Order: sequence, then C-alpha cells, then structure tokens
Amino acid sequence: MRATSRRFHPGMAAIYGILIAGAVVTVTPLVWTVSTSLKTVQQLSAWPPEWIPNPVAWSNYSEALTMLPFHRYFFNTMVLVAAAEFGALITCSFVAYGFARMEFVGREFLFLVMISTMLMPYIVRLVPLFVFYGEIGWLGTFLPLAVPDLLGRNAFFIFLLRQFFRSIPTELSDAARIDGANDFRIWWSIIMPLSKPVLATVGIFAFQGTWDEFLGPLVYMGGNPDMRTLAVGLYQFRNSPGSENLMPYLMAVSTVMIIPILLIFAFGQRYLVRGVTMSGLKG
Amino acid sequence: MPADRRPAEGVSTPSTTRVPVTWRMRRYLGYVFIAPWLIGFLAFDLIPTLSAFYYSFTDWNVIAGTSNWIGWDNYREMFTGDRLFWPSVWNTIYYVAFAVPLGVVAGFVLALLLNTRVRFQGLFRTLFYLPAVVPTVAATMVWLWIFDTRRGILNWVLTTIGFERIRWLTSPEWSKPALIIMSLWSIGGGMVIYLAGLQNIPQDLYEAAEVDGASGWNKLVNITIPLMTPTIFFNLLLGLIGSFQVFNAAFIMTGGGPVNSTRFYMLHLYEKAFQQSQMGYASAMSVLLFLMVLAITIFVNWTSKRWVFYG
Amino acid sequence: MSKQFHDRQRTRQFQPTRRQIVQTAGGLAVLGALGGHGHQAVAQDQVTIDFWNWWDVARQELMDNIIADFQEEFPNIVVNNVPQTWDRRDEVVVTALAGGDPPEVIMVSRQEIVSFAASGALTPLTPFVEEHGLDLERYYESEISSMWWEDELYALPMPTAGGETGLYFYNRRLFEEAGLDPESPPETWEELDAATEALTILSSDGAIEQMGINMSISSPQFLANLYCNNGSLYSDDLRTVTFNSDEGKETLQWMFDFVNRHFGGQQNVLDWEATITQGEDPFHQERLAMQYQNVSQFFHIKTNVPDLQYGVHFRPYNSNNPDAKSQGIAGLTFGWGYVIPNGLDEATQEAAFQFIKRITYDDAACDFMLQQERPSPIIECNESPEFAELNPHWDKVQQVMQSDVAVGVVPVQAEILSVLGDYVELVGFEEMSPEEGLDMAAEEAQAVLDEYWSSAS
Repeated sequence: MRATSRRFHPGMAAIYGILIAGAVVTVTPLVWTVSTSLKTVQQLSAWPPEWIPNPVAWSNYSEALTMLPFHRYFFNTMVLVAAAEFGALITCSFVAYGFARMEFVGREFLFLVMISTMLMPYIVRLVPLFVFYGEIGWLGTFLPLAVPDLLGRNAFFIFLLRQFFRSIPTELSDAARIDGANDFRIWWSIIMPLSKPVLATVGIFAFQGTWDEFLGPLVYMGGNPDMRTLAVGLYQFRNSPGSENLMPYLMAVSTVMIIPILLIFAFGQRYLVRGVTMSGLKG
Repeated sequence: MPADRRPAEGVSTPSTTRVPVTWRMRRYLGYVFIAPWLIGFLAFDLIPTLSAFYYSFTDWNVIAGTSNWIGWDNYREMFTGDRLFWPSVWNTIYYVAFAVPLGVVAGFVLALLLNTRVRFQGLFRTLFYLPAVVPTVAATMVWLWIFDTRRGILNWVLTTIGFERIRWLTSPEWSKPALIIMSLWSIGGGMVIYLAGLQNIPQDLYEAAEVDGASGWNKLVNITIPLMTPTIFFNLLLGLIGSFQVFNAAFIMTGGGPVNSTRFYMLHLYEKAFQQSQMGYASAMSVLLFLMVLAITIFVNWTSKRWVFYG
Repeated sequence: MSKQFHDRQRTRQFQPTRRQIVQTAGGLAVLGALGGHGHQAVAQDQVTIDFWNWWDVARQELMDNIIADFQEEFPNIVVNNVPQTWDRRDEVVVTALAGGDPPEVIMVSRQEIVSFAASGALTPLTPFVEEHGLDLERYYESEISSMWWEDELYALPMPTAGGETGLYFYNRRLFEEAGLDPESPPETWEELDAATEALTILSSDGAIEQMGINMSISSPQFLANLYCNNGSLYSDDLRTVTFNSDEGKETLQWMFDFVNRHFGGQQNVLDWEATITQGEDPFHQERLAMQYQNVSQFFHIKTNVPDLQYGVHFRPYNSNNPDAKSQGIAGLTFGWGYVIPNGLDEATQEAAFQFIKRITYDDAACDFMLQQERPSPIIECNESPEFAELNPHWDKVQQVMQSDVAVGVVPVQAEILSVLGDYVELVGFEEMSPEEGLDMAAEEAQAVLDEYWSSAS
C-alpha cells in the first residue's frame, strides 16, 4: 500500500493532545505575566482573576522603561552577550575539542577538575574574587564578566560540546588526518559544521544566560550605575516590603526582556534539525 | 599514549595543506586546545576555590577582615551544634531525589515528542522553551500567584475537579513539592539539549530498523535511547549539580519557610555567610557540599562507562 | 573515502597563524574597549562620593534633587546616587565592605550598623559631630540611641526607626457597619478582642473574607506586643534575653489564642498573607478592618485611596498588667542610618560627612520626609505646621515618636532574631506550646549572646 504523505493514527492524536495540554500549562504563567504588566496596582488582586485587565494600562510599559536608563542597560547587556557568544561558540568548542578528541597526559583528570568548578558554591568564592578584581582595577568594568567568558570558563558548555564531539565518528577525523590536516583544521572544518545542533544550543544558552544574569553584574559592575545590565535594572522594581508595589512595571520590563531571547530561540531552533548526516561516509 | 599516527607509507601529503606540527608534538597539542580554559581556571578559579578550603578552618569575618585558625570547630558545629544544618541537608536531598529524575525523564519525553513530525513543531518548541526565558524574578512572582491557596489558579483547577485546596506554600508538607513542580516548568532547557542530541542519530539507522520491521517502541529502546545516553548522562549530571545548589526560588518565594521546610543547603549557607557574618562556617558548608557532589559526580561518571554509549 | 570531503579540504585555505593574529588583535581591541568604562577621571581636588541607598525607583527623583542642590553648594564634591536592589542587598554590601573599596556612604539597617561597627568596618562619626557642632538632641531619643556602639556614634538616622509599631490604622466605615463606634477604637487587648470578633468575617469553608486585624504569630508581631505588656527583648545591659519572661509567655499565649479564636489558626492567616504579596494592600481594599502598620502607610493611603475613611490609634496593650501601657518600639525591622566605611582619606571622610549631614540633619532632610508625608527623626521637623496640614492624625504620630523606645541591638542580632522567629513559628504551627517555645528559644539565643560577649571581651 502506498504510504500517504499524511499518516494519521491514534498515536499522533495522543501526541498532539499531550503537547497542547503541556503548552497551555507552560504558557499560562507567561500569559499571566503579560496580563499583570497591563494592570494598575489596584487591579492586581481582583477576584476572580482577570486575564484581560479593564482598562488596559499600556502606559505601564512607557513609564517603566523610562524610569531607568534601559537603553544604557541594553547596551551593557549586549556587550556581555557578545563576549559570552564568542566564548561559547569559539573558545568553549575549541577547548571541548581538546577534551574530546585529543589525547594528552592528565586529560581525564583535568576534565574532572573542570567539572568540579561547578561544584563549589559561588558564595565562598565571591569575596576572594571581588578582592582580586579590586586589586587589579577591574571592578566597575566589563572585564570580570567578559574575560572569563572569552576564556571559555564555562564548564557546562565545554562538557556539553565534549559529549557531542565524542559521538562524532573518529573515522572522519582519521581520514582528514591522513590527508594531512592538523587538528585546528579538523576542529574548524569538520567538527564544527557537523555540530550545528549543539552549537545552536550553546549559542541560545549563552545568550539567555547572560541576558538574565543578575548577580555577577550586580556585584562586579553594579557600583557604577551606568554599568548596569537589564537584569539588574529589572531587579530594581523589586521593592522593599512596605514600599510601593511596582509589580506591573516589573512584569512590563520582564515581558520586554523576553522578546529578544524568544526571537533568538525561534531562529536558533531551526538548527535543531537533522543537518549533515554522517550516512554518506559509511562504507 | 597513542600509537604513532604516522601517515601510511606511500601516501603523499598534498603540498597545499600545512602540517605545522610533527606527530610527536601532537601529544602536547591537546594542552594548546585547553589552554584558554586552563588560563581562566588558574587565574579565577583555583585560588578562590582553594581559599574556601582554607577558610573553612577559620572564623573568617569578612567585614572585620579577620580570620583565626580554629581547626575543626566549624565542622563540629555543623554536624552537632547547628540546629538547622541537618534539616537543610535533608530538604536538599528530598528536592534532588524528586526534581532530578522527574526533570531528566520529562525533558527527554518532551524532546521525543517535539522531534516527531508534528505541525507547528517550531511553535511548540518555542512555547515549551519559554519558561526558561522568563526572568526569574518575574517567574517567582507569577508562581506565588499560581500557588496561592485562596486565589491561585492551581487550587482553582483542583477545586473545579473536586479536590480540596492544597496549601502549597504555606504548609510544611507541600512547600517542597510545590517547588519541585515549579522546577518542572522549566524543563525546556533540558529539552533543547535532548533535541540537539536527537539530531545526531543517523536517520539510516531508523530506516534500517524499519526495513527489519521494528516497531516504534523497538526503535526507541534499541536505537534512540542507547544513542542518547551521552546526552542523558550530561543532563543527569548537570541536573544533580544544579539541584544540590537550589536557592533562588526558595530565597524569593518562601524565605526557607514555612517552619524551615524549604531551608535548602545553599539558603542556609547564604544566611550564615551574609546575614550572620560567618563566612568561615559558610566555607565549611561549601567544602562539604563540594565533596558530597564531587563524590556523586565521580560515582555517576564511573557508572557511565557501563551505560553510556558513544557512537 | 568521500570525494566531497577531499574537495572541501582544498577549497578552504585555513591558515591558522594569520587568522590567529587577526583574532588576537581584534580580541585585544575588544578587551581595551571593555576595560575602558569605569569611573570618570576626577579633577585634582574633587572628591567623589558613591552613595549606596535603598531609596527606590519611585523616590529617586526626590533624592536626585537633594543631591543637585548639595553639589551646587559644594562644587568640589560629586555625589553618585547609586540605588541598590532590594534582593541580595546584604550580599552586595558585605562584599563591598570586605572588598577593600567600599562606597563612601552606605544606607544600612540598624542591625547592620551595630554589626559592622563591632567588626571595626566603620568610621566613627563622633569627632565630626563635635567638629561641626551638631546638636544630637534635635533627634528623638529612640532615633539616635541606636546609632551608637561602645560610646561612638556611627550613623545618623533617616528615615525614622520609630513609628514602626506604635500605631494601628482602622477603617471607620467597617467599624460603623459592624456596629462599633469609630470614635472610640480599641485601646486594650480585651477591647481589641471584642472589636475583632465583630469585624472578622469568615467564609463558609473557613477562609478569611474580612480580616479584623492583621495579627499573625510571627516574631516581629510578638515583640511589638511584648513591649505593650511591659516586656522587652533584652535586659538593659544587653547581656540577657528577656523575651521568655512571664510577660512574654503571656503575650504569646494571648496571640495564639487570639489567632485561633478569630481566624481559625495560623495557617489561615498565612494563606491570607500570601495573597498580599501579589497585589494591593488589603486595608486599601477594605478587606482588612484594622491594620498594624508603620507610618509609611500614610503616604500609601494618600497615593492609592485618598478617599478612604480611616482612623489611627495607639497599639493596644494588656490592661490586665498594671505596668503595661501602649508602647511602640523603634528599630526592630525598620530604621536606617548612613555610615562611612573605614579606610578613606580625610578629605573624602569630610565630604562624606557633609553629605550625610545634608540628608539627615539639614532642612533638606525635613523636606525629604515632608514630601513623602512621613515623620522625620528630627523633633522640630515634625512640629512644623505643614505636617499637621497634610495629616489629620499628626498629633498621634508625634506622640508615638516621642514615646517609642529603641529595641536593643547587638552584633549577633540577626542570629538571635532568627532563633526567636523559628520557635515562634513552631508555636504558631502548634508544634509546641508558647511557654515551651519561648524557653527553648531563650536557651538557644542566650547561648549565642553569651558566646558573643565572651569573645568580645
């Protein structure tokens, strides 16, 4: 029997059902965020909960975004994002290649050391690091956050990339090596193009991690109000208990902050499809 | 050490390609590749991490800038003198025990579903990824509303179905389950990683299996899962490492309560470090956490040799 | 061997060295740009003051105006207004102080003043006060007394620590509805009981529809009521915890019974409180008839519900105790001061002090509070007729400010309050009796206190 282009069977219905239910559950908090952003403070605790506020306070957005110099914050955030993206896509994959495809003394040990950097809570490293940065004059600049990123100091990404690199068949690099390519070449010309899915993943995560990072910019750069990032600005709408409730503004800025990442993701997730297959190289 | 990877005899090296290193030097080339990370590690990680070990044996007061050697006192205090230490350990283990397995499985299943040829695949993926993208501070506010006993949507759904209201965040029994549920909301992150991993599985393996008459379930168990083990291993390990340090949600939403039921290890550590100026004690707690998670990591890594299959 | 691959290799002329040079150069340029930002270069005799404060987004403009005026008067001083985020503030302040390059003026809580001063991180202000001839008696006793540690003054106050617990607000319309006389609101515990009975409405499933008063079994509320029963947190010499006295146990027992009788238990109250974080103050929405609240509430009512018919009265006290009276406390969860960290040069210290004086002592300090319609820590400020015009209840506010007593503060305050808080919470959840809870809390707290004093000597 000829396979029709659209095969419909109960399994697909179940899949759609789960996905739709899950999507609704997942999206509800976001919808509430947007809904809250359009309310006035008086409307916040109305019962039953109003999904569409009446009247709609569009002015929340313009007010919130002008209360603080968000254009400045945006620029600062983008600088850090650029550093993070470079670090993630280039440096981390470079390092991951070393861990995945190179043989050298102490490789497994150093890899474990790298993993273990994720284990020590940041709190006890904060003060020594802070003092160190103070002594070399890096406080209040982008450097404490950008330099480690550029050097690939992200065990998460390196680990992830390494996992993927390891599952690329060695026949490919062996073939290249026989043809005389060195490892830089192999890394750049073979491994990287084949790793589009994981690179897209890492690219998305790097963007989002930097976009939302609050503590690092606050501690190392926050002393200079011109150097704040979007996330730090956002937190300023969290007031001390007993002072004015700025929740609608908080939600408005949050909603605006979601949009870029969403676009990046919507764009990047297209790479999460079967790219160059390795089937052509077998046999 | 690898055997010499010399080019086979008789194969000529094209003159257009450059071979800047000898085969001998290749064993050191690996260091060049990891050099950026290594430099960063030596500069920014090593000393602060080692200093944590050192300070755990002192009564370091960061404000006063004093630290006197007190030997094992901090550790003794931790294990026997601190009324809130063991509860914080227990709370954390409870959380990890549920959040990690659920998260790993749910993320994997979700990725499988979103890898099939459904319509609006991109839209679904984006929707499920959304939670990871909402700023934490906004997300916690929203979840405070969701979990609200009287007016939250979760209880509204429950009462509509016919169940009783649950005191999600205001009772000690339900506070941790509430936070675990909240953690499942953001499995979109893990889903993305699984999706990336699924793309690495060569299509022809599936086709070959289909020719042999394999069912969907067969394909799943015999092809997908084995070839996804590197990704699963990754998510499992990262999930463990991250969950042991659970902090943000409890800090903002419950403050460790009610009745210290959500006082997680990191929360207790934070309080000791910054609110009670006991950075030495906090260092000791950090060291303990470090060793504990390191042991688990090494264990999982060791078992990975048996179940992780690198194509 | 795939032919595709072979060809690909030839077409890409990968030249690592040249590319690496370009990349490195570009990288260095980027690094240079990254490192370029920072504090602006300062002129020779100019002093820069970084002012860390928690005057949030809404009040930043007021503060900016004060700073602008200040800078006009003192052209060689530049003040940077650096409002902090509320979350993680303790982390940021501690790190800055520990890091060796702290901001020049920091707004800190009373607890932090004492604990930082005890750790030697702050510059005493006493010599500056003497030099500039400041008269500290301009402040209420309870305001200035908590800014001292070991005979040195470390901070000047703004806004008030007082006005925190001495008053409660009540809704006149709800009183009338319940058949109570809005002109004679409850003054004692017994009267409060009766009024709450009339003002609380529970729904059929036991949830609180209208709350009589926001009584909750928590340690701040416990302490506030304790002082209205002639009790105290510490002994006068701060060496002993005294909250587990008979008065203390009586207070907590009364609160426990109160909450159970009127609201169906502490859990119900917690459910009620949880909703509050989401939205507007329930007092504004007339779902709360009486409210324990600090003086900033005047401003919020004016802003959000200016037509609300409300009254103000003194916190109820225990009429069964002949020594008890309505007693407000200052500085338990409220109360801020401005400190100068150690390690600054003389010129900077002098400039910092000038600025602190501006916002806590000068007329500008009065204005800042007046514009927010909140009382000032300075006595004569509050006596100005403008306040009375803005606020019909001003006489009561003044009375409370005069009579408030400052809660004792020790460097280990955070830990002691945390212990008390835990046990009071357990009592609320019926895990132990008030008597048991307070005794156990006292035992643990006393140990902490003893350990501190023995190491301090």
